[in-house]
Amino acid sequence: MSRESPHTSPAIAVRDAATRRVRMSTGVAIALAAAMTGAFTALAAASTHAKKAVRRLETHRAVTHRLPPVVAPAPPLVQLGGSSAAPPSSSPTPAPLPATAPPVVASGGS
Amino acid sequence: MTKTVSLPAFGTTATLVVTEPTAARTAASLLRERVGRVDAACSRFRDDSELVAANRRSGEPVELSGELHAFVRAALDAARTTDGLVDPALGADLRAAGYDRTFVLVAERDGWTCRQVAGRRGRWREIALDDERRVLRVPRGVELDLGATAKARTADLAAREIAEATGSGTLVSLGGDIAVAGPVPPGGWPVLVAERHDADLDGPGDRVALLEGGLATSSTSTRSWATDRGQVNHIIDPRTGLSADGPWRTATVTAASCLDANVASTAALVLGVDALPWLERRGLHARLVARTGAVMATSGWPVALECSA
Repeated sequence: MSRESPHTSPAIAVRDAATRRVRMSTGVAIALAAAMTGAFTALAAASTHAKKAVRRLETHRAVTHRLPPVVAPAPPLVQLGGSSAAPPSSSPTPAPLPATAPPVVASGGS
Repeated sequence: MTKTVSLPAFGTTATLVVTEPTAARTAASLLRERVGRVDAACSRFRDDSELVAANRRSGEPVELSGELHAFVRAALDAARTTDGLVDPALGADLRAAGYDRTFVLVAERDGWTCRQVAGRRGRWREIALDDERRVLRVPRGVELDLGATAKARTADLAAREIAEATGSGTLVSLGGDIAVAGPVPPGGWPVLVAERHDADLDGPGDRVALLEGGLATSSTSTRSWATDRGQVNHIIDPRTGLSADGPWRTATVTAASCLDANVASTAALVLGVDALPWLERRGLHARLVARTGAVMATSGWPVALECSA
């Protein structure tokens, strides 16, 4: 390869300058393409379907864990007050205990 | 120290227990008065009762007393909350099954030919009750029966009334439908859960203590009689119009009131195999005895299970 001299013809100088510009443009284009590939890859990684599905599963599990383990007492079956306008009682159903004293009365068929 | 008084009520026995012995006389008087008022309003077996008069006028608007109105409202609420499992519109079905007079007379009768009442089921939905004017309109041909709710509601009302009037802790049992009110004895009100309400208190059964509310037992074996279709009982399955013939012979439930407990125990007998999950879903504590004698209970029932004959 010959080195450029002061005596190089103008046509050759123009050609060499154009070649440098092409090389520079190619380098810039390659760098830009690499940067954009990285950017799009990051964007895609943040918004893929699989990623969303995982998030939904996590959300679902969280809701499931928040469910109370014990069923809350139901409201009374009927209103003792006898009026449809009366508000339903909110008292929970009382649980019986094992008796520690002799029974005072029996419950059974009558 | 408690005092117990017994008296007849609704064709069965009322038992009154008070924590203040000096309150017993007043308490018995209040209970007797309350039972008398309810019987005059709600009995299906007294020609002079308001309910019988209303049943005779089915298809017409009938103005009710405050007493009967409140009991009919409670019965309709029970039907609504159980989706018709406890149905007050089964009076004609009960009569057709043979329960057309007091049970003492039914039991004495020599046989009965059952018939099934034809027509649509679930007619309680067609009953109109105007709460403002206390006007009832029952569809023509439908007869009200308040047996599944009246006794238990009376126990609730009487217990509360006595406790308020005397300041005494009070237990009222009407044929085993039990309500408690006022101060609670130490350890709660001890109750024997047995086959019959008149069982020997030293006999077999579960012993539980009530702190509040009520406890009721429904049974297909106690109030039953012989017919051409075999032994039938007073629990009518509203889906068929015939007496309930599910796997359970007794159902005992505790609830916030005796009325709630009795509605649930009746519904349990009608439901049959689905009774336990139905009770569990409602957070009710219950003990069921199968026809075989096997005992089952919901998770809240406190006593170790046993088998009885």
